[in-house]
Amino acid sequence: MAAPEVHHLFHAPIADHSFSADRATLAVARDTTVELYHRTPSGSGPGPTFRLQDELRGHDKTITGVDIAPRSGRIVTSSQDRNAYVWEPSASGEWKPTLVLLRINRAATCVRWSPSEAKFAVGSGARTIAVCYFEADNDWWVSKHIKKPLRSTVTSVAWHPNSVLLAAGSTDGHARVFSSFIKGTDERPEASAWGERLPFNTVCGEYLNPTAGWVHDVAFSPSGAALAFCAHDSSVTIVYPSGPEQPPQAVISVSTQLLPFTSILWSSETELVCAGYDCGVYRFAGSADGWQLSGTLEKDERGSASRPGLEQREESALNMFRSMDLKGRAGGGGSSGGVDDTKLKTVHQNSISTLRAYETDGEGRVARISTGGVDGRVVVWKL
Amino acid sequence: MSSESRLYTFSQDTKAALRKFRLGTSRAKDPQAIIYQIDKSNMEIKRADDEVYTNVQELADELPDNSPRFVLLSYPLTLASGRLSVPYVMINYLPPTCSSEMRMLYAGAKELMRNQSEVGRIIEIDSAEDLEDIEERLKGED
Repeated sequence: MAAPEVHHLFHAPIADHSFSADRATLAVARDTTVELYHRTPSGSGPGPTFRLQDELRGHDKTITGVDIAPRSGRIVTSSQDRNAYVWEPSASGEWKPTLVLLRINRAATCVRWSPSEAKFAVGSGARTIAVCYFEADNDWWVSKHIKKPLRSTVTSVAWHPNSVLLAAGSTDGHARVFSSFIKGTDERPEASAWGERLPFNTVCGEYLNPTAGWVHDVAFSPSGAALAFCAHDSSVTIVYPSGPEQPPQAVISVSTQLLPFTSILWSSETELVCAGYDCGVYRFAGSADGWQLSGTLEKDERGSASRPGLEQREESALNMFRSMDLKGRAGGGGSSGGVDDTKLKTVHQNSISTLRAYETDGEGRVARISTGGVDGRVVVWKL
Repeated sequence: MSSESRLYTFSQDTKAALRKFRLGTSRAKDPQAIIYQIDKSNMEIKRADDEVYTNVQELADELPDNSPRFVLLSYPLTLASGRLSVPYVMINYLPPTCSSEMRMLYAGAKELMRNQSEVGRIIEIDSAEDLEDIEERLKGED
């Protein structure tokens, strides 16, 4: 497994991050501004680094979501100040913000562009999801609200590949699938296991986490045929629907002994990647018959005979002598002294807040992923 | 007031049509409605289309979701007392999703439109569904 590419940008939490389509620009939410970093080729030191290129100022309160649309290059940001801005790149390199009136009276918690990039969905603490689309006649972003069954804050939104179905996880313990069909902007979606005629705000599926724990993240599988969500009871649930108005074909819930996950991503139809409060990245493998935890992406410290393992042991020998010299601590195999315990064994030193797909290979499988965490690091992992 | 008449314009045809509509609808048996819009490019107030709507449902379907409109409505009513009345009102349709620019454009023209069309009163609605109880509102306020 190749070493992950670590970019320690600053010492502040990163609520959300997003890469541009060519992966040369990285947008990172830092408190009330979005910092845009440009990738510089590996001049000094190992691997490419990111240099601060621009800052998008406009929001008054903490930014909770950033998303860059791959084709159009537009950036949408949502913040606790109840607003969303759409930033358009201009020829001179300046970013022009357009305020979108979401008409919500609580903070916006997350934002994602639809795959068609004609709309974006904003989850909020106002128990609504604002689906926004651009109306050319009025030169204005209009927001329509999905309210009906939502009973608490929406923590995350995820789009189905057809840009009509929208999944939302909420603190009321449910993960739901809605239709956000907008006449004039969307094409009629093909009939799928989620439903056929789908007017706006139709609930295509509502799934309760068994312990009613907060749902932190939801994601559709690459084909859209299955939905996965992770909740605060440290479980991951995968739902395979069979048809509209019918009970699902399978609902598989996997409980783990790890800390809860905050972000999940499908790397293929049969594999999930999750990250959360454990500060590490984990993989799940399975299908409609069953799922299980299949491993972690972190370096295996003990035992591995490959190069990374060797280096690890060498480093800890060096550290052991260094700590004996500096701090007077005698080292030893099993004793607590001598081993540096001020750093976590994982790459991230604090919880991971977002997981994004970085690179997909020819067959649509995700080959590399990027994670952003509360420690201010953005790390690119190879799967 | 006069400053608005310098900003918004009515063509002579529109003024004549407004007059004709006001005078000609008091004898009709069913509701008569015309939708007016403001052309952003030349600030002219004119008809949205050439149809006179006689069905409230059709009128509700025709109103756009995200733009304000003025509707001149003449609605024959039979009051509780048995009296026949055909109130002529203007409906100010302002959906909450429309942009601030449009809101201000139509708000500025509201009084001018009222005077030009010589309606009895203005009714504010913010969604096409509100049109369904227009009859109740007209009866209640008489």
